[in-house]
Amino acid sequence: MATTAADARTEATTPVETARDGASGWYLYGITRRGARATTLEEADAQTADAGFAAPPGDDAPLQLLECGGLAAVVRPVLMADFTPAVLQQRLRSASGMEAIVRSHNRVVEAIHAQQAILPARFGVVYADTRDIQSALRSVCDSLLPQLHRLEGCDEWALHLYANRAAVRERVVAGNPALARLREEFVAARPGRAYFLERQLREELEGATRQALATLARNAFDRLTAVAIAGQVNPAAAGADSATEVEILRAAFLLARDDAERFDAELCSVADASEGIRCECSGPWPPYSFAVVDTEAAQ
Amino acid sequence: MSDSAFGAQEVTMLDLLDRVIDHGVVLAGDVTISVAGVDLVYLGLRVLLAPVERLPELMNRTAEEERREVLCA
Repeated sequence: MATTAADARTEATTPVETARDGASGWYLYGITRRGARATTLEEADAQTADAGFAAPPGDDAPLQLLECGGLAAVVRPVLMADFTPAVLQQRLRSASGMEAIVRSHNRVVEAIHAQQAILPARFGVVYADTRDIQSALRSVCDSLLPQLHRLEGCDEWALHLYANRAAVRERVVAGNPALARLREEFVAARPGRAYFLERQLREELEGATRQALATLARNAFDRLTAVAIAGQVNPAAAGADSATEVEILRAAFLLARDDAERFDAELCSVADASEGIRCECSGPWPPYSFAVVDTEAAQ
Repeated sequence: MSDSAFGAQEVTMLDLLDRVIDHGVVLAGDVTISVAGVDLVYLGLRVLLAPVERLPELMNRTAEEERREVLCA
């Protein structure tokens, strides 16, 4: 990518800071548009007070904006030594310790997100040198600026949709005359025949129920995506199901803040308790699931 | 958001982890230190946060196995 005059000016006015003692690096929180208000950064900075990672010696480690072209990386100096697998593993022994660090990352991103669009960075990526971040920013500038524009005024919402297995199975039987007949036949059958009928019934019922659950999930996702800017299905963690409920959909939706009520209404109609469907929703989140660096476009 | 479906809203740690650790941009720098330990930490946190009934299954994977998987990935 050609270096523009604007980039050249940026480089001239932004001193390249290299980790002073070789042991510090730059932790990336996210990428936002150039020109964030100073107060925005101060507010976000207040959220790092309990970040859990020590600042490099002689540095009170404030948040900084590393500007390049139309973009700005939200970074903070950290000690490289805090990011070795051994140290992270040590911290892992305390769930509350790790939770504090992950929450702290999110709070910084949230503080910026409350003021202007941000592409949240994935947790735990440290750069050795500000030049690395700047050159990376320069290479993706054309693809990230439209993304930031798209995310302006939007939140992400997380959704889990659960179905009561027994309730769905009953509906499947009720809506499927062949299955209902098979069940009647099974109830009335003599032991020998009942054994085979039971196997057949179980197989057909399982298949039909699986299909019904998949259809429920797909319809719910389509309906919710229709009132959102975008939707994304996340794979549900195996074993997230309880004895009575099965998680049929785990998804993220990107919503314009003005559309939150419409989405809420649609969700209420999708998650119908009388049909054995229940939802859990969390948010608003910064748009983690909708921030993608298109590396192919950058090359 | 109004009550109803969002009334039971609970910012679960799992949703936070899914977002902060599984999603978000990674800028490829020339000298990026992409933390090798993060996947390991994530697995560990999943173990810690998993529903009680899943613990035996997860705990069967020793830290050493996870480490090898992460290193080989």
